Amino acid sequence: MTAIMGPSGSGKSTLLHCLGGVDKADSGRLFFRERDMMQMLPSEIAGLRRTQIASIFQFFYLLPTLTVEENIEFPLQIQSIPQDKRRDSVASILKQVGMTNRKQAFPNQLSGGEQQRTAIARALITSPKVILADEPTGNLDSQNGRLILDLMQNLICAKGIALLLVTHSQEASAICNTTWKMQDGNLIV
Amino acid sequence: MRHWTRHPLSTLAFCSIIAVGVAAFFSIRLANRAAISGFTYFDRTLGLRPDLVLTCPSGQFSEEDLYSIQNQLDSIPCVMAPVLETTATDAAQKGDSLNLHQFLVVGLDTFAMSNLIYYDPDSSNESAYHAWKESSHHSQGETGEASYGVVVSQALANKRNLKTGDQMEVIIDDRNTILSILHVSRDEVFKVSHPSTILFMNIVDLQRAMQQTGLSHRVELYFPPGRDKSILMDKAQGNLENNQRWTVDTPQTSLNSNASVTRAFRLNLTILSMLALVVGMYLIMQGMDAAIVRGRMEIATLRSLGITPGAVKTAWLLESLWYGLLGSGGGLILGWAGAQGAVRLVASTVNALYLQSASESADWNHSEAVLALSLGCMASLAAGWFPARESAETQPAEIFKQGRQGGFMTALNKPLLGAGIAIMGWVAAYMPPYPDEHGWIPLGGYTAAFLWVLAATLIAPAGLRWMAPLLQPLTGYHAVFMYAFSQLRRPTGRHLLSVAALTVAVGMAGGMTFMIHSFETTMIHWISQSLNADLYVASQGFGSASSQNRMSKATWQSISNHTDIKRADVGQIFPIDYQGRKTFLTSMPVSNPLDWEYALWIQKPSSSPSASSNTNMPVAVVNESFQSRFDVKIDDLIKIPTPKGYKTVRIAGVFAEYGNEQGTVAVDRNLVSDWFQDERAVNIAVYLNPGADPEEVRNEILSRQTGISIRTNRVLREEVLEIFHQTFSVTHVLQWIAIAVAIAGLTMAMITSLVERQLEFQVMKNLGMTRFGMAMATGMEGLACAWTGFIFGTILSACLGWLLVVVINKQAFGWTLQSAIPWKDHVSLLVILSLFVLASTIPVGWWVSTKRMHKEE
Repeated sequence: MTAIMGPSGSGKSTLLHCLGGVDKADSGRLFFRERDMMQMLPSEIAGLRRTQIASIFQFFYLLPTLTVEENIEFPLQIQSIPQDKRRDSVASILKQVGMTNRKQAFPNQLSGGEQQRTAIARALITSPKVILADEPTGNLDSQNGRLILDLMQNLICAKGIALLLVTHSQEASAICNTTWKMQDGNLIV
Repeated sequence: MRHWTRHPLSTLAFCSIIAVGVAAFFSIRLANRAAISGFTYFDRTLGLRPDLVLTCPSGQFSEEDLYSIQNQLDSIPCVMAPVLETTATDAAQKGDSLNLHQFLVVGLDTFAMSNLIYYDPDSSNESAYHAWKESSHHSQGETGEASYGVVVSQALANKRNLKTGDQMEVIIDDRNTILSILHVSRDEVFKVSHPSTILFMNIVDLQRAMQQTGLSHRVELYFPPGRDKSILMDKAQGNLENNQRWTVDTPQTSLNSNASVTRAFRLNLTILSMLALVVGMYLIMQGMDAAIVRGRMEIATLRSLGITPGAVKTAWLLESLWYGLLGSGGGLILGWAGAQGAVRLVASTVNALYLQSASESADWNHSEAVLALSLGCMASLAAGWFPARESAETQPAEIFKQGRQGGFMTALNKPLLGAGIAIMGWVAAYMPPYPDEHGWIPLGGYTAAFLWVLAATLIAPAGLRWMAPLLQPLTGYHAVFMYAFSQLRRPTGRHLLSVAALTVAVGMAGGMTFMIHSFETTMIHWISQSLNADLYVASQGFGSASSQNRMSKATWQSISNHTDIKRADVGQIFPIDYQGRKTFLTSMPVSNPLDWEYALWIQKPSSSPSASSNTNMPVAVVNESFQSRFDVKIDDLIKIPTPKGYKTVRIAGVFAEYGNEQGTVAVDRNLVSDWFQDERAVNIAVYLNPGADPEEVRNEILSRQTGISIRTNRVLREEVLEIFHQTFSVTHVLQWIAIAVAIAGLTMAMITSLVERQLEFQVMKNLGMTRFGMAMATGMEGLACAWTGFIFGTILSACLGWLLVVVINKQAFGWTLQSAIPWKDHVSLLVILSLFVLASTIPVGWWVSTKRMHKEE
């Protein structure tokens, strides 16, 4: 679990977007498991995002027309996983994030904390190798922020998933093993 | 102003929508106007406009009538000028089409022709006038045809490169006739532009050419100019009125009477032409709503800075008005250009079904332009009203809270209110028609149509939510379906409005198709029942209600005597005025209607006359249009105007006929010939002896008879259906314009909606969805909206189709049509709609999916 900290405009989110393959770096090279991501076809990068890399955002970004259950199930649907398997996985992850009783709710019916728990479940459902989290507690009060960090620590660590956490918060970076700093687009390790 | 410059594409889209709507309306209005004013009284005279026009209910004045008129006028100083009109076919035209272009030949007397010398700087008119007056006019052509002097219009002379002394060959009735050009009328002399389809002859020559000595169709009265003119006119009117043999009108009322003949046709076309504007209104409303939702934060900021709700509303309404003005301006230009094409379609329908029209182009008309411009601006203002009101009335805090969600159009979802309005429409549909001096106006039917369209607008958007559970099983199959169909559960205002617009477009277009298909099915049934002769013979060029070409008795007798012909039914038709309205008297090939084997009866004549009926009285059968227009029933006695006075006949039956909406009364041909002293036939239906080959007989008759055309049964059926399809060509164009506007609206809605949902696409991209998947999801979403609109549009089209066939058509035209659902057309519409929606929404989805995430944050 690695945290990246730095002032606003230092390039943390841009780095995360490049790592997630949703943006292209102007220069340099980017490798995922020894494969150059800059040389990959869009469909190959999409494949990586489907199975290897997941994201968690500050503003949750749940799909507003899908219920909690459907939002979590959605990445599995993209992977064309059979429906019965999807249901089992969703039921299990809902239980883990404590959202079983809210599974039929739509995002606008949820609190910020509930939305972020749903987003974490959505990220975990595909069992990715890496989770990229961009200020996951930035839009939550301190109590909910603490809960979310605990949840991330427990679930992500337990599954052996690598976490790259971009944050301003010392409290958030404290859950990580390593903390790097960014300044003016440069990573200070 | 900032919105217009910052969003030039959406401004262009709104203006284009209004422009298309206004253009459709304006072009049809101009075309209608041109088609019915094809021949005005200015066109039909050389110079002076008559002060009064006398017409005869039987359609024909005899010489005896002229003496009576002269006596009644007593010593009132005025000039009485009888006029005779007929049609002539251009002999140069090849082909046997039923819709050959015709000349209107006007026979004028010497007084009317004297106007030739009214303005004559180079004395050329005077020479022509003297040539006209003094020459014997009538001579034999080189090949034996009759030859007469004629004055042609400048338009015709230019078109055919004709000059004085040239000759042209036409067919008058069934005779080839040579016309020698005495003079080319110059537009600047009479301050009127005579169309290229009018010819002026001496009335005596025309009577000779038609072999109808002493015949005239109307009498024009000219009073000397001066202060006493109106007194003289009043006196003449007083003397001439109260005589059943003729009616006295001003030229304007005569023209209005022509216009009234085509009123139902024009009214229906005008209503249809507003279809694109109505659909466009939904789209403007949708666009305004989108703009307001987009600018909500700005509105809230302005409100919190102290701008009044009224000022906010005024700003949005001004924006709507601006779109209306810009769009309508463009629409007027487009419409004027479109009218040049539409006028030919409308004029050919008017020619085929109603009266001779000379229209070749539609002139700009200021009042129509102002009407179209006002309508466009009003539509735009009405469309902007609700969004503007919503923007002004919502409190700033609430606006900040709502952000980009909602929009007033989410309030469109009112199925219960819609159901209530639909029931009101049902009640309106059963209201009796409104009677006016020219016939019936199906006001209840039009009201019902309006209420049902409104009801569909309120019910159809709810259909999106009803569709969601139906499509739910599909969502489990793929993420594309999951995302696409989830949009139906919580549709935005734009989704709702585009569904409403599609419902209205599909409903109205489908309703018209329902009516046309029912009409076609009925026509085919009618044709198969009525057109059973082996050959149909008519003078060349005859084939429409406006044609006046007839076959002489010698011609049809000669044909009837052919050895291979078993029977020949002679058809005659005379336009008459019954109870002050134009209708037709036709001949029945038999004296007893029960023997008329090919009539399609709505009410069959009884084999045993009722006790109340006078068995010695001549019997007549009437068509449905006559029955409904004049409110008559079996056993009623009606008085038919003829040159021999009014003849009373008893109505014995009602038959189906779809050739005209003015009504037809049919009487035994021998009686009709005797009453009108006219043996000329409009056509003859020829039944051959068994074994005779129709083609051989046809060719054999044509080899010895000129000036006629002969069609076999198959060809005639094909041509009748061709004219039928041509009649509805304008309707088809208008339908497709409305559908295109609705598809454009759906695409616009999708673009707006997707641009607002860009972030969702970035999330899906993050979750690993491919661009193709996202584009397909967009396509599916568009398809779901289109199909919802289509389903509700189909229900609306069935209701409107029923209304058109059973209520409006019956009340306006008096025709009973057999309802037939156009399944094939409807499936084609669904396929075309689906393909267009996919073709327009998938690229939008692809485009949005290519947007980079950081730009949106």
